[in-house]
Amino acid sequence: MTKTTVDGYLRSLDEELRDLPPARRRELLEEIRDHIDSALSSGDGGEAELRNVLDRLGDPSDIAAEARERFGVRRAKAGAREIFTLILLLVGGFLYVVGWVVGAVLLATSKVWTDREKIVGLLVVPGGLLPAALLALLPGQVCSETTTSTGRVITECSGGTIPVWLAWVILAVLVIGPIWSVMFLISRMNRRSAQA
Amino acid sequence: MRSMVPAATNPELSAQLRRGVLEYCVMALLRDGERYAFDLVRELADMDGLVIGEGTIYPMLARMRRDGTVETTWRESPSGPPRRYYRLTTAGRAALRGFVKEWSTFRDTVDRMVGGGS
Repeated sequence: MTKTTVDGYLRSLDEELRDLPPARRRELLEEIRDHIDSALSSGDGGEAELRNVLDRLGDPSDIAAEARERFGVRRAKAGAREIFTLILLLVGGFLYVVGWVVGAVLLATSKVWTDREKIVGLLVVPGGLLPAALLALLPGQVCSETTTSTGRVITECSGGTIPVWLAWVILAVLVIGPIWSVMFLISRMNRRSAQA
Repeated sequence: MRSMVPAATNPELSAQLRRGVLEYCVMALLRDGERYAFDLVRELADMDGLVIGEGTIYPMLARMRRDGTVETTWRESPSGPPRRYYRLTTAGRAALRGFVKEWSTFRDTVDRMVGGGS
């Protein structure tokens, strides 16, 4: 019980400190954790005592607000940058792939999304809709008919390395994947903006 | 200074005033030697009206460390894990001296103007 209360407090503080540079964030978390440990080491370690310690520390959002102010960091808000990021992730691949790479860098450096959300955005699907388009453009089975001098018709087919049905399944995944992941990022972004 | 409400009944004003002087209070507490971070924070928090949440002192300490007015070292603790101690740097000592000089002039002037002096 005691452990989960402390963990919950620290987790919520960690989340609130997201806008700060990673080193500052780590440092502050570590110091607050030490503070809690020190405060508890002298007492009976009961739940009431722990709650008093956390009350005296104050609300994690107040600590984070103070940290942002002291280090001149502004709270990240979803804006044009994030919209641009999502557009690039989706269709940036068509700009010679570079567009998607830029989108990926913008995503990775954004303060709006958590690390886990970023990983989803990067892995589903690298290149955005580009892989789907490339797959659709791949030559399917090409057959040519030639008539020989004897009047026989010879049909020759080439290409088509994978079965057609499998190609459709992969295409569907490659289309739905990036659209789903961008919608996922939008919903997370909106949730966070509503909290701010 | 838009309002003329006394500081004690105006949390926003007192927060503004506190903000400017709190780090010098930290330096003053460290003037006579290093202190364990936890004790330092508790001591500040116990001073009337100076601090609202103990947690908000840590961002300020981190900033002061970056500015080079204080530094930290780890020391073995008789009980439990090593503890982080804060101490004043030479730059911090100079900043505190500057503040003390500035503060007495500032305080006298404001006292004269608002009639708080004796």
